[in-house]
Amino acid sequence: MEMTRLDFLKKAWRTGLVLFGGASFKVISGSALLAADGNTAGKRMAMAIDVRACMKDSSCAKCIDACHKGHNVPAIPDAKQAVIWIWKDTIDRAMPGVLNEYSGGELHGAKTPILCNQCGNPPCVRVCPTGATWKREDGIVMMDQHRCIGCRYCMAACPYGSRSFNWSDPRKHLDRKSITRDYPTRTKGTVEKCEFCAERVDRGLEPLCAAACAEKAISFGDLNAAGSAVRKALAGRIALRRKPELGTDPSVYYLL
Amino acid sequence: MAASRIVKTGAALALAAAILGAPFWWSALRGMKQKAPSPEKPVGEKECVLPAAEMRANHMTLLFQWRDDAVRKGDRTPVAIGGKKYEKSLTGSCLKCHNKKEDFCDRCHDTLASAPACFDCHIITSERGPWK
Repeated sequence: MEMTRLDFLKKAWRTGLVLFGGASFKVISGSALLAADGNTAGKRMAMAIDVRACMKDSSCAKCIDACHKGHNVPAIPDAKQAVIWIWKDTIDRAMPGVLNEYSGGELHGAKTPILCNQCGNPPCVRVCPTGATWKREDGIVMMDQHRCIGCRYCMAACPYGSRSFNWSDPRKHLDRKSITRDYPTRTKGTVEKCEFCAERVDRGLEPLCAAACAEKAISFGDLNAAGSAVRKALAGRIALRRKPELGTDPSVYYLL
Repeated sequence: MAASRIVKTGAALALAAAILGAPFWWSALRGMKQKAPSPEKPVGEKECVLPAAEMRANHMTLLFQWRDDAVRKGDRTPVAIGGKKYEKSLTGSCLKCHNKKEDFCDRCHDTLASAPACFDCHIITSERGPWK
C-alpha cells in the first residue's frame, strides 16, 4: 500500500506522542513546579518588619540609606532608569486590600519598607537562563553578577518589582570618594536586587537595614530556629506577606 | 611575450609580499622584540597565596575558585597559607598587597592584550579620582 503524505504525518504524530508525549505531559502537569520548596529541613532566613514601630517616624530612611550606601546602589535621577534595593511605600500599595477607604486609623497612609521577598518558590529563579539568580540553601535568593546576561526575564517574572536593571554604567552616578570600597559596583546591562546582605549573613551579621533601624523595627533570622529574632518577632503578632496567594512563599513578614 | 608576463607577475608578487610582510621583516632586521612585562612586586611582602610561577600561570583559576566559593556556595572562610589567613576576595586580599593595579595587573594584561572585566565592578582600592 502506498503511503500518502497525510498518512505519514498521522503516523509520525502518533509515534511522537507515544515516545515523547508522556514525558512532556508529566513536566507540564507535574506538581513539583507548584510545590513550594519551603526549606523546612535547613535554614530559612527571613525578615519581620514591625510596621507600627517603623511608622513612628515617617520621614526616616535610615534602612534605605544604609543599604544603598553599603551596596553602592547609585542614585539615578531618571525614575525610569532608577536602581533600587529597598524603598518605602504605603501599606495599601504594598498589600492591596488589607486596608480600605473606611479603615482610617493610624495605619492609613503609613509607609513601610519594601524589599526583595526572598521567596521560598522564587519565579525569578525559574526563568533565569544562566543560573545567575538562584536560591541558596538558607533560602536567600542571590544574584551572581558574573553570570547575568541582562535578559531581564527575572524582572518580568518577579511579581513584586524588586529588581532593577542597569540601563547605563552605574558608576556615572556614584562618587568614588564616598563609595563603599569593599563592595563591588555593578556594570551596565545587569540586573540587581536586595540579597538579604548575604555577604554579611555569611559572617554572622544581620542585614544592614536591620542594623541601621533606630526603632529596631526589622528582625532577621532563621525561620526554622525557634529562638531566632524573626521567630520571636512573629510570635503572637498578626503578620502579612505580600501577595502570598501567588504561591511565591515570601520570606518578608509585615507585622501590623 | 610569455616570459615577460611571468617576470611581471613574479615581480608584482614579490612586491606584494614585501609590503604585506613589512611588519615581520622590518622588526626582524632591526632586532625588535616584544618586551617582557615587568609587573612591580609589592614592597615588604614576600609571600603570595601560591608560588610565583603558579600564580603567574593560574591566578585566574584561583580567582574563579574563590569567586565560586564566596558567591555561589557562601563559603567565605579565609584560606590559611603559611600561617597567614587570606580572605577569598580580589579586593580584600589580592589588592591589599598588590595595591597598584596599573603597575601590577595591567602590565601583563596590556602586553597580552587581555582585558579581564573584573574591575568593571570590583573597586580598585588605590584609585581615588574620577572613574575611568
